[in-house]
Formats: sequence, C-alpha cells, structure tokens
Amino acid sequence: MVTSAPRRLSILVGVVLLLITAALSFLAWLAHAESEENLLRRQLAQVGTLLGSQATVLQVQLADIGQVAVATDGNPSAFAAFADRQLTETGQSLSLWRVDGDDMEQVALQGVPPLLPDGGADRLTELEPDGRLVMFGILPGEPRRLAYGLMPGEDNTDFVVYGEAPLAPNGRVEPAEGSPLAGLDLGLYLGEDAAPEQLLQATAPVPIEGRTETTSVPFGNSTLTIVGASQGPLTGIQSAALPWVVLGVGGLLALGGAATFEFVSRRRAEAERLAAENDRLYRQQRGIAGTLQHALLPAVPELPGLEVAARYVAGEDELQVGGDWFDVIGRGPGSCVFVVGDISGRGLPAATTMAALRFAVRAYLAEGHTIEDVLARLRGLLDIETDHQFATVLLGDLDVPAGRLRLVSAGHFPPALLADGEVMLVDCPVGTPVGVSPSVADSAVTVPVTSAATMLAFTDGAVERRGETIDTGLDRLRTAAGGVVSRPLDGMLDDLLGALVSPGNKDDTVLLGVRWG
Amino acid sequence: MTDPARAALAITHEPEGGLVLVLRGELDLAGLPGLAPALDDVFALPRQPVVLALDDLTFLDSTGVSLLIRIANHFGTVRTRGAAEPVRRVLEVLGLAGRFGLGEG
Repeated sequence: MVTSAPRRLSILVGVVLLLITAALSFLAWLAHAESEENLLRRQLAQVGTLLGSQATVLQVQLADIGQVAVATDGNPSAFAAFADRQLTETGQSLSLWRVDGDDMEQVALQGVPPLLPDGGADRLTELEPDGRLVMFGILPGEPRRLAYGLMPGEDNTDFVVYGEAPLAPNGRVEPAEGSPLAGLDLGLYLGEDAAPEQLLQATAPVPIEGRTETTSVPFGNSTLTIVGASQGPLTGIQSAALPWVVLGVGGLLALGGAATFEFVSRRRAEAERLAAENDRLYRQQRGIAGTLQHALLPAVPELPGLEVAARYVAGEDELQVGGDWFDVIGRGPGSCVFVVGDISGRGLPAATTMAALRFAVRAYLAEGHTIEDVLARLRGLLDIETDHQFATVLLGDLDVPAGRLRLVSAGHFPPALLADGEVMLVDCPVGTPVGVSPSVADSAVTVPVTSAATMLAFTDGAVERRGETIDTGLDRLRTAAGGVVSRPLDGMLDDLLGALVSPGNKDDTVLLGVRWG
Repeated sequence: MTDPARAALAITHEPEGGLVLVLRGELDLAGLPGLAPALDDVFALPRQPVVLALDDLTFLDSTGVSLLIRIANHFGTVRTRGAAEPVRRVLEVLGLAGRFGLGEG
C-alpha cells in the first residue's frame, strides 16, 4: 500500500512530463513545418518572378525583330542577321510572316522549319498589332515545341514574328549549380493548372512529390503554373531535427523526473514505514507492560464484613505505563491488610518491579510479619543506586472489630477516612521511599476507626497536577470525596475519578476504597 | 520530545568554599537527558557536604526525585535551600524532608 502509491504517482509524473514533451515537440514540428512552408513559398515566388521575366525578355526580343522587319520592310537578310543572335540552341525556329488580308505569307525563316499550331498559318491572323507576346500552346512532336508569336505594336504594320522552341523529353532539365531552380523539385506548366500535357519543364519526375507549393505568374498572354517541393529541409538540418531533439531530451527528462520522484517517494515511504514501525514497537511495549500490569493487579477480593473496590487508570498520552499498584489481603471478618504503591519510572522495568514488590508483600505477610517488618524487608529488595528505581508504599492493617487502623508509609500519601460526612487525611509519619536508605526505622501509626466508615487510599495521579502544589490536589480530593461520601462504593470511586483525573492526565492513578459498617 | 533546555544543573561554591549545586527548570523524565554531562561532573566530585539551591526549580517528578536522592546518597550530608512550595511539598510527602535537610520547612 505504502509502496504502490508512490509508484503510481511516479508513473503519473512521467506521463505528464512525456505529454508536455510531446506537446513541445509537436509545436517545434509545427514551427518547423510552418517555416518550411513559408520558405518554399518564398522560393517559388522568386522562381516565378524569374520565369515571368523570361517571358518579358522573349517579348522584347521578338518585338526587336519585328521592329527591324517593319523598318526594312521585311528584308530577309536583315531578319536573318537579327534572328540568328536569338537562336541559342538547336531545334529552335524563328520565322517572319506578312499578313495579306486573310492570308499569311512566310517572308523569312531562321532555324528549323516551323510546325505551326493546329489550324496552320491562319492562326497567326489572331495576333493584334499590340507588341504583346502570345502563346500558341505546346505542339506535339519529337520533340514537342512551345509555339509563340508577336505582332509589333506599330501603325500599319503587317508583319508577324513567330517562334517555336523545343522542349526536353518529359520536360526534364538539370538546373545549373547555383541556379535559383537548384535545390527544388519544380514542374513548370503552361496554363492555369498543372495538366501533364501542358508540362514545359521539370527538374524532377512529374508529378512533383512531397509537400508541394503551387504558384502562377503571367506568361505572355498565358499563365505559367509552377509546382515546387523542396528536396531537403530548407530551414537547415537543426530546424528539421529540433522536434526530434525536443522529443528525445524531453523524454529523457521525463524518465529522469519520474525516476527521481519515485526515488524520493520511496525514501519518504520508507521513512514513514520506519516511523510507523517505531510507533508500533512503542505501543507494543506499552501493550506488554500494560498487559503485565493489568494481569498483576488483583481482582478485588470478596471479604466478609468489608466492601472493597478499586480503580486503576493508565495515564494518557504516554507510551509507557507507570508502576502504580494495589493489593488487598483478607485477614478474617472485618479485617484486611492493604497496600498501595507507586514505582518511580515507567514501562516494563516499573511493571516488573511492581510485580516483585507485590508478591513480596504477600509472602512476608504469609510469614506472619507485621506491616512494619514487611516494609523493612521490602527495603532490602530495591536500591536506587543499582535498580535506578524507588517505590512509594503505603501498608495498612485494618481491623474493624478492634476499631483500629495501623499504617506505615514509605514516601506514600496517607489514606483519607470518610466518616460521619467528614473527610480526614490521616496524619501518618512518612519514611523515605523503598530504595532509599532510611534515616530512622519505620514506625507505624495507629488510628482509631468508627464502626461505619470508608477508607480511601490513592496514588499521586489522583492529586498531582503540574503547576500546582500537592496540597491543592489534596484539597481537591478532600472536597470531591466530601461530595460523594453517601454514594455506593463503586459509584463513589467512579465519581472521584471523574472529578480528580483530568483528560490528558499523564500519570497513572489508583483509587482503593474499603468500606465497613 | 526531550528539550535540553528544560532543566539545568550548575556546580558553584559558597564564598567560604562550600559546594553548591544549582538546579533550574523542570526536573522530570524529559528534562533529565540534558543534565547528563553536568551529572558526570557532579558524581566525579568527592563525598562532602552539599547545598542544593532549588530557587529556580519549578517542577519535580519521581524521576527528578530519584536524581536528588542519588545526589544525596553520593554526598552524604545534604541541605536544601530556596525550594518553592510545590517542590518542597513533593519532598515532604515522599518522606524525604529529613533526608534533604528541609526539617523546619
């Protein structure tokens, strides 16, 4: 129970940290993807600008040729001289046509003969004298050709410049190192969309794979559609690796965090377990001592002519019991010897010393000794210097028929006598406690008793409270006893306990009552 | 649980040289451990008449009484002075007034 709870918590901590890591990793990936997307888009825009400007260059070239034709009134050699400079690769075709009503007449040709678009040369009549580059589309063949034309923007012009440029098989071209096209997988299409048959050029197999971006730019009277994808991380290897770095480091931190939490939890659980174990051991010891003490305290005997009752209350809030005890030994009708004592110290040592003294008292009495002699012999059993304990003992010899009570005290409170509604603490000489060498021999006092009375003997728990003198406690006892003197003996002791022993009292308390008459 | 400051014991001397042990605070089970070093010094002293100065002793239980008895046994002759009423009464009801020279109260 104690160990599984921290483990569950540790796992929880680990999972929470992993979730946080996953979230951070995802965010890093998003940021990376976002910047990749932005970069690709920006690169495609640059490519678009570049290719769009090529259309402008082509338009200017054709317009120049047109100007020359107008100026020379279609001189073929002038055309040839000018057009030759424009033909940079084989397979190109550049031709000059004159418009004659609805007919087209080829005036001059440079390069390969033109294929002409579907519909033949008549298609060239669609051109307006505005100097704008017009795309006639891609012509099928080996190789396919891009067809375009222009009519110079001059008044009364009747010339048309027409060109065809060959396209690479599958449009594949290898961009030169350092070209803006390098590093990108590009597909260039004539028209509004990336139709395969409209492919002009490609730097990679089409259709372009991967995370693609598409842009389009004006191309003459048509449009150039550019589809691009980056061949590698545009933002650099660090950016692409960042999500994985975050995931890896975060994962390790999560595991470390969970492990640390587990370690700390286990340490604490162990400490708590030890504390609980110590507590249990203490209680067990108190349990042993308490059990022993209760076992050693006698059942109250039935004595002819006497009513006897006793109460023992263990002190609260202390893990160790004290060594309070009492005993009553019958001696014939209306006669008994009683003993009340208190061993200094607590726990098992006090309980075992108490047992030794209690049985010694019985043994010495059985041998026929007087209570003074019994006390003198008890003194031989205990020595504070060797046993580190002393005991207060009150021995009483009650003989109601003889009308007397003999008492001897070794450091113990004398009893109270309740008779005729009055409470009296017996005046009794007190010798040193058992275990402390006496300065003088113990002497008993003899007190006369009336035919009906109650004797009350007690231990210090009934009268001692921290912060006040014993006399205050004795007065309290006297007052309390006076209030319950007419009660049955058992009820009287219960009432007295209630009045004298405050909750939380730390000391053991014994009350012994003997009533006669 | 044990508070070393609960009880204190000091070895001093009268102007004329007599040994005086000054006990302060609460002399009970909880106060006793704090006294252990001082007690070693006390019990290392030779047997001689001693005065227990208890003016600032506020509480005494059976454990404290045990200690006082062992001190009394060690030195032989003991006089007590300054004991407040609660402390004096504890010694009296234990029959130890004579042992600690508290005869006249």
